[in-house]
Amino acid sequence: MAELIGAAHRPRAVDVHEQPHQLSARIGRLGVPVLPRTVVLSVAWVVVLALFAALGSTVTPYDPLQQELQARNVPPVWLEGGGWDHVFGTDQLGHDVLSRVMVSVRPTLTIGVTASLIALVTGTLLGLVAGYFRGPADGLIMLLADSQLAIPSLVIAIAAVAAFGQSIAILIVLAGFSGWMGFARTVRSSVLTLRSRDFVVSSRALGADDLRILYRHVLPNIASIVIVLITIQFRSLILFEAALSFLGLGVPPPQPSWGSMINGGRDYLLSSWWISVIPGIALMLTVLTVSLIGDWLRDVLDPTLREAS
Amino acid sequence: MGSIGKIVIPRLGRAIVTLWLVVTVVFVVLRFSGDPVSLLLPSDASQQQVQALRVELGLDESIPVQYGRFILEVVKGDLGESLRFNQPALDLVLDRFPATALLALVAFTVAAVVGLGVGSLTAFARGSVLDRAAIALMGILQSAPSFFLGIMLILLFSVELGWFPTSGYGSPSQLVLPALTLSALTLASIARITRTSLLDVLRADYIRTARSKGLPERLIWSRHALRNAALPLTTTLGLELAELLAGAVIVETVFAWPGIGRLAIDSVAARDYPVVQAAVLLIATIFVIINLLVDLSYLALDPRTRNG
Amino acid sequence: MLTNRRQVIQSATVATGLAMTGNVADSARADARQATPSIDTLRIAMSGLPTQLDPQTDTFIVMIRIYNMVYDTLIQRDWANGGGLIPGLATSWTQVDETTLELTLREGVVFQDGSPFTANDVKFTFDRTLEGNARLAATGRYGLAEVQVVDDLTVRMITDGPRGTLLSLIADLGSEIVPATYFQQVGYEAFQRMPIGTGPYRVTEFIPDTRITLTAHTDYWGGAPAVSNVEIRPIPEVSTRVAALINGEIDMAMDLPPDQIPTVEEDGRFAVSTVSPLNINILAIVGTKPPVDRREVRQALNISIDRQSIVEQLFGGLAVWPTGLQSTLDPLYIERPQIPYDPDGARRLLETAGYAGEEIRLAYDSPNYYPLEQEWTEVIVAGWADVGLNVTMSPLELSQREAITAEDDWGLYTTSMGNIADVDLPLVVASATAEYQILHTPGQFDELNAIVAQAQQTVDEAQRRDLTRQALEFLEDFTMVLPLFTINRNTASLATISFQETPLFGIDLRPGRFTVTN
Repeated sequence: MAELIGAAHRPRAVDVHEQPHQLSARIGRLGVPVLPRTVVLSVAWVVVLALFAALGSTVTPYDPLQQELQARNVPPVWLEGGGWDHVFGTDQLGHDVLSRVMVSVRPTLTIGVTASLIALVTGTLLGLVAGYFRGPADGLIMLLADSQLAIPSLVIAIAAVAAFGQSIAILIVLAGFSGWMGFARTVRSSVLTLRSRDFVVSSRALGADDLRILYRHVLPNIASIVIVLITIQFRSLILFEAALSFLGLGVPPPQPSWGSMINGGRDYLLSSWWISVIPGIALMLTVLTVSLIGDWLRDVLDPTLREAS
Repeated sequence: MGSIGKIVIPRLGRAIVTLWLVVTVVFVVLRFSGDPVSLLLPSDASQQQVQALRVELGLDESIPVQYGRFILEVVKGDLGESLRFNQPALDLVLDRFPATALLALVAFTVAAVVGLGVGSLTAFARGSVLDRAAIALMGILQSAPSFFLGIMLILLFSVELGWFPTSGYGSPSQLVLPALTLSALTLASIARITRTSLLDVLRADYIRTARSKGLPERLIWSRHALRNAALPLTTTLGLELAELLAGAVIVETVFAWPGIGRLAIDSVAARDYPVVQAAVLLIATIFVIINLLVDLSYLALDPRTRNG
Repeated sequence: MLTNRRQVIQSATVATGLAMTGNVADSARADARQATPSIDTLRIAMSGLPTQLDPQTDTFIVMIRIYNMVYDTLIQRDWANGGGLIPGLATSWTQVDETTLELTLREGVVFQDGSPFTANDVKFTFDRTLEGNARLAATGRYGLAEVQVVDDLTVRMITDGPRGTLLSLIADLGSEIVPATYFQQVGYEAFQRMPIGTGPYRVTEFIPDTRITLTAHTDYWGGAPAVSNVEIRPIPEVSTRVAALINGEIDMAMDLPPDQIPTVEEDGRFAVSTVSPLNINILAIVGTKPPVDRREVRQALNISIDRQSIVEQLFGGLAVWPTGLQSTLDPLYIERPQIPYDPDGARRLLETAGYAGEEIRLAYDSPNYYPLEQEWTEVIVAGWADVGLNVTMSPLELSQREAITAEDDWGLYTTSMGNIADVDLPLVVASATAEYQILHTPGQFDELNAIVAQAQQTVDEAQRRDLTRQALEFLEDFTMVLPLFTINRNTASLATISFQETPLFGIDLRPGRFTVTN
């Protein structure tokens, strides 16, 4: 019993102000850099992406929209027939692939990040409310989540694009609101488990109000699963954009995005594979780095782990 | 019986409300996205012909009237005739169901078995080379759009190695590549969620209590860790299975697999309302059933939620 | 040849991190693949399957292909020799008077169920177009007043006035003969699934989106077909279709975009046939919408499209730079220069029109409906930007594009039309169809409508040709639509198969037009 009460009083919250202190403490104790090499590389990649997103077409070697029909499907520099003027080759309209990969960062990440945030905020809030307060709110939220999950999202996407026209904004809305249910359901089920956990029960018995319990006890305890969910969600939303491109509903051209580039080259995978593969690698690296950073953050934020070290 | 009834009946009620919400949303969204008349008629049709067809299809009525009629028909079990195939919409959808179910179940089994395995393995070997390699591999699998992965598998296993056919439906060998493609994404998600849930649980107080009491690892694992990690995992598994059954439009297209997903998408494109509604209703019903099963397994796994 | 292909594929797969295995198994399999088996079942893959098979209901390309295997028309076209009319189910025809066409039918023709083909079937077929059924594409096409059965092998078609275009229409789509008795027996819906005709193949299995199987009609009046079974499979994805061909799962892959042809040819086992169809891609103009309501702006749009470089560079020469809305296979073909490319002229026209960079919105199909549609649209729009035309392209779903009205925001949209003057000018350009009435101010085209109506009623071919010339000139001068180009249809098949898709999109497996050498 003493053990349980102790657990209830143990500070589990991730207080923003506490973080730097805790981090430095950890470095000191472990005696190793807190940032593993993979994380450094990941962060570097994200910084590069952020730069491309900010600078747009001002830093690309070519105008990403400039066509050159005489130079269609030129291979990248390391293959026979390629040259340094188009390092990653050209696509079926003679666009410079490198320039397009660079300029695609902005629309791709805008969709991925904004939609993930929409899904995260909506889903986590609703999941918390549903799992913690139960009752009619829970019933309604889960009913909505179930109903939306039960509708194939691409069916709605096609109909919505037909009704509202094709634009990045509609893609963000579609992607964002197709992702909240995952957060809501997972958060809810974690909260359900936590809710009956002893430290919540006891702090409630000690008179703590709901908001405080949610903030101090529940939120930190679901943080790690939420972070993993974000990285999964970010991945699936970026891929959602690619899937919509496959159905002809992606980012409207001539503006390229990674999804539409990978899709646009899919008829050429037998011959001019680089048209799809180069943006595909960019997308893969991005998803991978986001996962790595997510995993690392998870560990850093994890209160139990911190105490253990 | 009494207690089971108490648990099941309210959930059944909810399931019906869910289905009603789904068909209603799809009905409304479809009507706002345009009507099928312009596609059904030849391009030289006159305006009188256009009007005549709208009357014939009942599209000249107001949306509430159309909706009322639609709901009445659904309750009577009549989902209407396909405008493209001139066949009962439900028959068309049910004809596709075996293909969809086969693909989804095989892909799900592969994903669940491999995903749970990799997930728990990496949770125990946390931080090791194995863990990192698995994470990287999952990352690659997760980040390939399914059409890209599918075509790559075709190039490797059909064109280059000649092991499996590229496409089609009928023989078991034709199932291999689409099932692999479809399972890739799910597999990675399941593995990651498993790893995270297990890590969370293994760090929890009661596990540490158990450890400090000197309980053997094997017992900790079976008595506490798996049981507690099972809750979020069940949710994930249920969602993933439902998603797979909802149709894998893209995998179906790449591998020419005659499933419900492609039928639904083609039907939306043609505004073949009855088929879209029948497909969505079937998918939603399956989802609701899976959901019900997940809910019930919650109760079995964690008695505490029963009184919540 | 084989090595070349392997290198291409290998580099592709290695680059994505997929490991390659040794070459031993490879070469063994390649040997097995090279031994071409004699063909008992011809396996054809195309981009999709038809949803129904009644030839008078719809004329989508995937359907037309099957119609051509299952049915015959009374009059056919001799595609190998300039497209002239030749006997089909009718052996001869005479214009009895201005409104009466008498046809003598072929003797001894049987439908695939063994029942004889007679004048009743002809009457039944054409009577269907008089019922006013809006769902039938063939409804009201012919200007018929009545079809009379004179005897078992003689029919008379009575038109509602003089009809110079009737023969062309009888040889065209929607005029395939359906069996009266069988149709009435099974009913419309069953017929759409399991039809019967007089053609060389009978449908024996139709599983939507999975396959259609056809069996040879051994009593076919043109002789027994070369292959006893045909299996048609839908493979929507181009890469998969090509891979299935290379992997030996199919014998013929239709709907190949031009960029796939080198890949297929490098393999060495396949031959690619290409045909220029009776269809032209156009950009329709919403003529009431500023600034394209100004004729000079429309003319500037028209002459600042570099059709030649699109045809040569983008389509690798597998497309046709046209003279206008007319195919060279049109019996009424009128020699005219190709549509010019004159960017300077376009700039001058824009200046005259006082065009000040107003936005013109162009809708194209998404997902693409025509091969390389997005690509060519991007090229055209970039060319327009060079002469100062501010055209923005937006993707639009097919069903939305079909429903465009003058109230919508579009100035231009992509579509295509037939290019046989007798058949298509009355149908598409000048008629009172819902589509074109909406797009143009009433009265604008009275002159053109009068010319086309007169051509329809002119039986004399020389006069009709002259009227057609006037109509085409009016269209060009007024620039009511922007004719783009005709895109070839490409099919790859085993080199032992000699096959050619017809210009009307048909799969023609009639004896003499299709051979297999073993």
